[in-house]
Amino acid sequence: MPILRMFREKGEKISDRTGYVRSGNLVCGGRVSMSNGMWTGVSGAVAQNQKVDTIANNLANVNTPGFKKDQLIFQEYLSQKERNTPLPVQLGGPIHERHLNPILGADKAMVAVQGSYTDHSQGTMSSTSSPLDFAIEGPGYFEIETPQGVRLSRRGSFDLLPNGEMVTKEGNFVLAPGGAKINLLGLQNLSVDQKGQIFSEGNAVGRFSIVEAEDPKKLVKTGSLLFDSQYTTKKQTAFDRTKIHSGYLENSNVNPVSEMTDLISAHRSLEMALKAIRTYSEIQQKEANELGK
Amino acid sequence: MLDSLRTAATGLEAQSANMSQIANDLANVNTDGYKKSKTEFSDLMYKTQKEPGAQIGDNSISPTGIQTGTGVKVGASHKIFEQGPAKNTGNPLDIMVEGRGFFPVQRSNGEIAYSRAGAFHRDASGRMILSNGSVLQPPIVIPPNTLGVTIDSDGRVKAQFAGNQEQELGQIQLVSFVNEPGLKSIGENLFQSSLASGVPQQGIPGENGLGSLSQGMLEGSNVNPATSIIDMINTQKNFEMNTKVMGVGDKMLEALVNLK
Repeated sequence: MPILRMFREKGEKISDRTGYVRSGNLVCGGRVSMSNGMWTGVSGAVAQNQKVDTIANNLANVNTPGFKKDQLIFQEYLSQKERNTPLPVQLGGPIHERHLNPILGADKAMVAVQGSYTDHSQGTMSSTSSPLDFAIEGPGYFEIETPQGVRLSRRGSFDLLPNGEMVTKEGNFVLAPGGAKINLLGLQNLSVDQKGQIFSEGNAVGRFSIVEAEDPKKLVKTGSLLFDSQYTTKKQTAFDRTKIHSGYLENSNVNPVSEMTDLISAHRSLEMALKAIRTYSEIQQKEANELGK
Repeated sequence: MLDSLRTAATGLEAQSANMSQIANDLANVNTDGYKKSKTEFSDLMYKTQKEPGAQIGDNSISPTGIQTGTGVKVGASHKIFEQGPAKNTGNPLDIMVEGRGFFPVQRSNGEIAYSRAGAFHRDASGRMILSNGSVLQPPIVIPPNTLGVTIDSDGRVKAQFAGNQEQELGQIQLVSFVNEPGLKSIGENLFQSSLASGVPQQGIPGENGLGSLSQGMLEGSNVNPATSIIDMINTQKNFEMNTKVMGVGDKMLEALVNLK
């Protein structure tokens, strides 16, 4: 919330020079311009609005296999002046203006969205009884070739093209280690072991490329359950913590309970920010209409 | 706020598409040869306000970016060709495929279609037809004076006549596809091949990975009512959650509008 200091005047003379202004019986910290505080409220409203957008997307994808939820991080955004504020004089005795932090732009403190990050935690698994459905347990992603380049995905719901190439539901190719496409033309009785190796009637016929991202937080979502790994490095998994489950799909890791709770709290925070804006508006109105009388 | 409204709308649309599929599955819980459907969702594109790794100061880069998703879409809906339960009917012209394979039939409009439901009948000229009038391909004609018909597991149809006479009438062929979920459902328990399913590969039952036939049996619907109902409950709750998001978006807009 806006850093607006309000305290009761105790009959002390307060000079305008120090940056405090009298407003009726209240002394408000900050430079004269009130609209800055109003913008603080606006920044809160904008941030909470973005949070609701993120929650809406998480809840819309509560049933999307391989979906990973997004979270927002807020930060306090301060002006340059505020960061270099000298320490206040030690308090003692009656409060005097020199004991207080000079505000010097602190009322410009705002909230900003610092970043969004994707929570790559494990989703639960559900049995689909489809032989071309795979779930990854532990860290790891399938490598998928799209027209835009190689992408990573946690959704292992695949199909075979008439020429035997394995593709995702969008028609992007599933890759083997080294970047070759997986081709299972004419092979019967397929099975896949926990290390992603594909067998047909007991003979190894292929392998999934399962990669781990060095920093999963730097994966960028591109939609259709794909991640772009251009900001981090990836390496083939050693299958020390990773397992492939055939005939299962990983569910979305969205937790409806926490999302609904976050939704309520974001909604209320937004209303509070709007309330602050309205309060500023009323103060300004009083300043304009009553102070000058 | 309008974004969250639109995002919630995509959620409502996707959940209601899923509900239609579940309703169709449950309606066909008793349809022989019916294969259940699966709706798969995928997320829509993301708005990227800040790339991760963007320069935010002289020596610092931002460790995370800002991405906001815009909702969900139905990525695919396809049939699951899991074997259904066997039902003993005792009818000599009921044939079940145990394993992969479809019966090729010719519809009344001349098109070739494929079916898992092998409940055959005889038409006026003795040809084996499905109840919707589609004729088994290649046609097998059962003579009028036939006393009984036996169908072997490899598809050979033999007719018995008076006086222990037996005659082979033909062999039922099965058809398989590389990508069965790519088949197009056209109703009446029939499927048509598509570019995604690949070309039909005809063969003898029991060979090259094709299933064998069993006479006097039918394959029941592979819909599992318990899982369908659980899916239905989930879908309904997910729908409700998306309406709640919409409600919050609406209240937020209202609060904003009433600010002045």
